[in-house]
Amino acid sequence: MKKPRVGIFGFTGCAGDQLMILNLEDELLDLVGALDIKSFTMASSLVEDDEYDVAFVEGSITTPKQKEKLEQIRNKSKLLVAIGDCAAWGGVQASCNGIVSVSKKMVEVYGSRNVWEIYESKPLSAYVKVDFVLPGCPIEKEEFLRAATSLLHGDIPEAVDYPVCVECKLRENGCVLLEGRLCLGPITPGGCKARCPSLGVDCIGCRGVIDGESRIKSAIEVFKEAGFEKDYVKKRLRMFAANYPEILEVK
Amino acid sequence: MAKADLPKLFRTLAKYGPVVAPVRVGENVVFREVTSLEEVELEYTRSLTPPKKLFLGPQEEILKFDGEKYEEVFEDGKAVLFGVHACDINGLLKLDEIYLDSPQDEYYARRRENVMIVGMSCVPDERCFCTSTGSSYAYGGFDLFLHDIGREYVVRVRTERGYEFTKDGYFKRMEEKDFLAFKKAEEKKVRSIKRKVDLAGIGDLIDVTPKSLWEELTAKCLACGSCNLVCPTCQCYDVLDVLELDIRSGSRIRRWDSCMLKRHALVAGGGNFRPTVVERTANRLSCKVGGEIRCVGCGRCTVYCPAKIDLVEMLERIRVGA
Amino acid sequence: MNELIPKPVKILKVKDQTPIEKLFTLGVKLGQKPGQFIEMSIAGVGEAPVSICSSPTRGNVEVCVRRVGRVTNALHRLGAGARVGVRGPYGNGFPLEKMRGSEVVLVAGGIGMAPVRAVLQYLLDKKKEYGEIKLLYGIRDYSMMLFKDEILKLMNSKACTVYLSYEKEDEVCKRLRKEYPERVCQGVVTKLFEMVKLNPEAHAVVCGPPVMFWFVFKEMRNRGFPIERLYMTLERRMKCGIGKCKHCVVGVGSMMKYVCKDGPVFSGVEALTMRGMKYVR
Repeated sequence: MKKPRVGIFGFTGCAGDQLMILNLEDELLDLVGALDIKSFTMASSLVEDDEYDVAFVEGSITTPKQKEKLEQIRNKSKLLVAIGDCAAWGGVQASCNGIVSVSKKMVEVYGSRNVWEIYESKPLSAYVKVDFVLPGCPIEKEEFLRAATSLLHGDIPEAVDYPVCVECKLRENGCVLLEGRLCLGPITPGGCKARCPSLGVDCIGCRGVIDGESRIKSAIEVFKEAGFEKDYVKKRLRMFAANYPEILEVK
Repeated sequence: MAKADLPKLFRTLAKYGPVVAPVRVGENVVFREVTSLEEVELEYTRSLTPPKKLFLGPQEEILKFDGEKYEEVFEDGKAVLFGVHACDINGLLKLDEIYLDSPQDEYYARRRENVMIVGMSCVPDERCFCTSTGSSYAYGGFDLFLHDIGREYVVRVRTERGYEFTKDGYFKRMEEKDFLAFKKAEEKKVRSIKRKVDLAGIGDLIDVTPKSLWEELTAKCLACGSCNLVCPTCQCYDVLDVLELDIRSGSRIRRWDSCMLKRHALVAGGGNFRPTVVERTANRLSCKVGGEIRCVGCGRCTVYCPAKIDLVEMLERIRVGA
Repeated sequence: MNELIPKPVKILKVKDQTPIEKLFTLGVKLGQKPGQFIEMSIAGVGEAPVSICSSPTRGNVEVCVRRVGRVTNALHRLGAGARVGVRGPYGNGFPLEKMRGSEVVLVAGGIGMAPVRAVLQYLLDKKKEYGEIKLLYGIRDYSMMLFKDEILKLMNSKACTVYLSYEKEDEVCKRLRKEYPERVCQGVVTKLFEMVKLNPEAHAVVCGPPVMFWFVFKEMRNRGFPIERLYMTLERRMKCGIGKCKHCVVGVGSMMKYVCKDGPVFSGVEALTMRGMKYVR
């Protein structure tokens, strides 16, 4: 069997997801052996202008040039996988979308609005078709590996579409929300094995929102009843998933 | 038997196999393997997850595969499940009706065979309503059951396997006064369970409940699945294959599932037969109390609901119809 | 015996049916009842319930699979000689004993032709035990017709009367309509009832997408067909196939059933009394 040609690319983000792939110490060699890695911005300087079976793309899209490059990658790839919260949802850099305009941000940071052209931070899916999403800030190593094996086998991996609460209960954790902290677990997709609540810390929603579940209004109501300030709830919801329509609408 | 002799019983039980008992972890009680009686929370109200986890694992490997060769995975082992309340024992009996029904689930059946169950009288709170579901007393489904009557335990023996552990000298025959004390303790427990719910015909009421009421009842529901995952009678499981990097070997895993999750009634092609929390809640309640009563009144789904949705209140609203 | 462990079975033959459906002949005989299903495994991908489309009277098990999910996509990549995991057969199957001696009307829409074919083969093989056989088959267009050769052959045969409806006209459909104007028409499958004389003493088998089922159900009831003599199949994501995992539960309130164990075949009366059916759209 011919090895699948793989490209790993990064846009606006911290490159933490690419780093997670490199951190797969135990499996990295097997993985590299199984794949024909044509482009890996972070791991090597080699960029072969080639066609890809799978492109893993990290980071959000914030400039016209990035948009163009992303479209190129899409055209050259059979499958495009968004990795990490920035690529999946637009990242922390999207948290003020719809509140603070891009030009105002430019003035704040650079003193002038015309340094260069930028967009509001958007996920890859705002511009191209995304075949699969591996969410998280950063992504989970094990989840990446599982997705990679599925892709190697020829299948689209199975997305986690159930909340962190499920993994919390499977691990027999008490409920952080009931204990009085604003936990986003109920609306955030699992796959992290309830990493934060298992340590007694509330879920910050780094894996975004369960797509299509429409429980945001209910969550806001529950948080309100638990005594959390409206503004604080809004900020927390916006941190990693501001581009989700139901969150973008929150006043 | 005198309470002071409990450590002796514990030690003999431990000879049968590892003892799994209620242990306090932070604000919650969970069933864990223990090595001494001191670790055990003898007086508790309810554990976070039910003891069914010993028979139907929260997440367990059911087979290994290598190419299209499938091999069963089963860890054989005897164990003692110690300190189980009547509601949870009744929960297991309800699971038996499903998992031991032909064709039986081999994993469940073998563990049911291997694991010895020692029941223990409970400390109810205001969320318990087991007297309404007929599960405040365990008539069977255990090997031994210890009833706290003050300074002593009344020990009910239900199996030959349990009987073997009551041969030591510290077990005394019950006398008239013990029976009276037992009766008094049981009556006191039943009286202390103040919460009541009328379940007669509730299934048909669920069916005719208008959508507007359902929407109101489920307005706060987060579809997080917690209610199902802490339920002692929830039977649903999901299955997934985990493939190794060699892309030929791996294992098939099953995991507790919840009918409140969007994936539960999803079919290939993307159709969903229960797309919103309204249909899912109607399904959950139907499953629990719609036909035969599959709820044991333990109160877990209410206690551990992050949105604080109360099952009994919900059922009362359904009965009233508004 | 552990019911959850699949048996490896060889794929003997693969035949394209439509752009999205393939017929797989498996190297196994299961003595199934028409209407039953099997759980098919592709190791590492998962398991999916698939209805059997062949009669036990024809030997090896055949399944007609539409490419819709992860497992079925993986299955479509496999050719003859490959192995898959098989468990089953599961489910109740059609009550063919009850139908003995009477006329049988088979109504199929789309992929619903798969389980109907199992019944049809059975009836054709036991022709003496049953009355007249009518097949009403609704397709989108000729490219989406399953078992093309068999259906075309049957249209020309006396063993059974085939009625065909199509939504989009193409060359083949047009030719068939010209050739059999009294049995072929353009429209949805319910339109065929204008051409068929329904015998209230007959039994009916209806398989297709849920929407189609309810339209057929209504149409047949309006035409005075007794719904207790009508049988349909439901499809859900049966994960265990043996009434444990409860993914296939249908009905609301006091009328809950497992599709895998109590079904997948239900009578018209059962379908109507499962009040939760109002959620089926």
